[in-house]
Amino acid sequence: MNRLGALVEEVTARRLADGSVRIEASRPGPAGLSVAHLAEGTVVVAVDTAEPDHVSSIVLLEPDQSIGRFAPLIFDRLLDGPTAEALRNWWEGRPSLDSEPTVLWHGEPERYLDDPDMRIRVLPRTMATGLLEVGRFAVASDAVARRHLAPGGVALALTEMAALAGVIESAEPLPAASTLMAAAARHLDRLDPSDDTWLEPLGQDDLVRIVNRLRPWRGMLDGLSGGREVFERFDRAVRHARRIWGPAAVVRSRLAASPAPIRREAAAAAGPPPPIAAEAAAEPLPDAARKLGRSVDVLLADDVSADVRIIDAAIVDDHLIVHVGGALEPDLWLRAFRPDRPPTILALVPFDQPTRRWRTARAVLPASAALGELLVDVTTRPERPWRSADGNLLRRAVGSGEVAARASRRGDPDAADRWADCADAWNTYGDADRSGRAARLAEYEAAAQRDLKRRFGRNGLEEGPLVVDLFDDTA
Amino acid sequence: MPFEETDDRRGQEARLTAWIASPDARSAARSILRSLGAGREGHVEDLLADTWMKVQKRLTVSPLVERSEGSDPVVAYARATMHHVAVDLFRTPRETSLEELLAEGWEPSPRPEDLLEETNLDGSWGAVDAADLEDEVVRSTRLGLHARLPERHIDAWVVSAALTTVSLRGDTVEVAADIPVPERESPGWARRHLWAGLAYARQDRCFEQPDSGAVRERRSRALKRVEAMLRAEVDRAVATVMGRESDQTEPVPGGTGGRR
Repeated sequence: MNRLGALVEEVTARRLADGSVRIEASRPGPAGLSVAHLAEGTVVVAVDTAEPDHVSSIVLLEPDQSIGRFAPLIFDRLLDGPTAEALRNWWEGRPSLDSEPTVLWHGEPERYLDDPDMRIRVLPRTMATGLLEVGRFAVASDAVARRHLAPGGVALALTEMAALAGVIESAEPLPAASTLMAAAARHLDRLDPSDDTWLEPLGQDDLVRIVNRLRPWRGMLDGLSGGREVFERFDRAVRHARRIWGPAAVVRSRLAASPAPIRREAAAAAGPPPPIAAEAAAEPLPDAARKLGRSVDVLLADDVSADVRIIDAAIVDDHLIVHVGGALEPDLWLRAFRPDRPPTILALVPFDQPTRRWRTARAVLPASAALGELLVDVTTRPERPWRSADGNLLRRAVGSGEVAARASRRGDPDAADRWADCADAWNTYGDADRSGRAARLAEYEAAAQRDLKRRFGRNGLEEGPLVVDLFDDTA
Repeated sequence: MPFEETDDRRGQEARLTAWIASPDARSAARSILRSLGAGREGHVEDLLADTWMKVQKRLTVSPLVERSEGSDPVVAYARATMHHVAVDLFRTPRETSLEELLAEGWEPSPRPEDLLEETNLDGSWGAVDAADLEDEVVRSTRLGLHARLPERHIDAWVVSAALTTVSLRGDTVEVAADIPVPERESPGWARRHLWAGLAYARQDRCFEQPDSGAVRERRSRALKRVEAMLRAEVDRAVATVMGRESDQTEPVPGGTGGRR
């Protein structure tokens, strides 16, 4: 087995056109990738988000520094002996720019996901190479930038990142622990000392878990600029919360009181969304528009809620008019592109506000475009480049995997359901391999719910949730 | 970061666009995506577009420096960037950047009026007249406007209005009957396309009735913002396209001249 991951079958290296070196170990899993910047930003490690001790790729931006000088990060921490030796030999052969991949290592992967007890999942952990810590730093770095957190949540997430950065300090992570701690303190500075409202999104037991999560690092973080202040502020907030909730409530187990099933019941009680035809019938579109208009295919971007449906889309008199149903997003945009390479944006207009059961956007198109081929989508993120149908399906599947991975780290009772959703998303995309991996993770989570001992033995989960996992999004 | 306009940068942007459209770039994209287990054709288009945007943004900072003799630094940089962008296909887009969180964080957004630049309100677009807006300039303007969206303090409605204004130049398209239009004989008539841009961008507060002094002031500020952004992007697009033209007719070093 290779140190870069239990599923790795082959490790390759290639020199890219700009002189950097890319080492590839495994394809991204069903939850996609998270990225950590090490060696002051000159080494970029992409790990599997669901199982962060699995490395997908390593990019060496300054290979002379990393390989030529036998950097301990590469030769001791990231790569095992045979792979590192092969990398050094390959580099000494002066590979040309934009070279084909060269195999550094080849072997049999561990089929641990097929093991009925999945006990083999603990194997990589026993190697204790520090890869898991690098992986968790990567997952935390990506998660904190992906989420809408309350200001206090950002401060605590940065505090934990500082702790993780401290653990892998010899790998020279970017940002460094001191930078992260100082930023956490600055974020707390911006809070009103008497305002604890940012704690409200937290579950009662989540607060306890945050305290437990940060406590072991307190000594280390106290030594950093702003570290003591972060904890003092946090302690005050916790004392305040304990007074509100009472000690009994604080120690109540989250496993017994997850809000997830309640949300599902509420959704079921609300009934299925109204049929699209009924929405359209509530105020029919003008007949003339339907007759004269040229219909247009519209993509729903992956950032749009799954409840959104296209009711009608047509070009009428140089105007692109799109009606959608089920959209509650406050900021929803219609975009039209001409299929150049890269696609050229022609129009960007907002949908009206959600005051009715459907919403409308109307864009004027340049005269030449109304008759030609168009790429049209609906998105909440107008700044993003055009994304193909395949790309949207991929992003949706990766997003569902990230949600499932977070549920797993939190130990949520519905983690198995989330992985099953992820398997469905990959199935819709048409990737049987990743769908299968997600389905097996669903089986594992279901088994872990029956036997909690497994949870603590599972590789990658011994450390429990990240602080950022415990906060819900604020918007 | 200050915008540095140089011949090098303009030429490099032109070479980037040419390479992204080439079979070589397509082949490179396919190869990278296959290694990640995502070889579908739709991803190839996405990867090419994302790579173009990322490298184009880099070129606005400064021209790339040649690292080895004979290789085009733009193509080399784009090839390497493609690898990083491919990894990003497997990451959910960030809401913010870690860099922003590490900076001060929660700096209040500046008031829109603080961002306004003094603009000439005569309705012209600086060096470019409507008749000069050839396809390449228009396309470059549109791409440039879209590329501005991720910037901090850029409101999407400003870009929306600017894009609509570009579509309406030349009066080849009629606006819908309910779109407000200034009086034909009024000084505001020259800015009718900007008005329409605001209306399609649903800046309804700029057209509230009665058309009081406050509403007119609000509209004027909004028009200035759209016009300033549009003027900057048209100027940039003209410089880029003209740079491309001169780059194509530049003599080959050591050769007898002619087009490259």
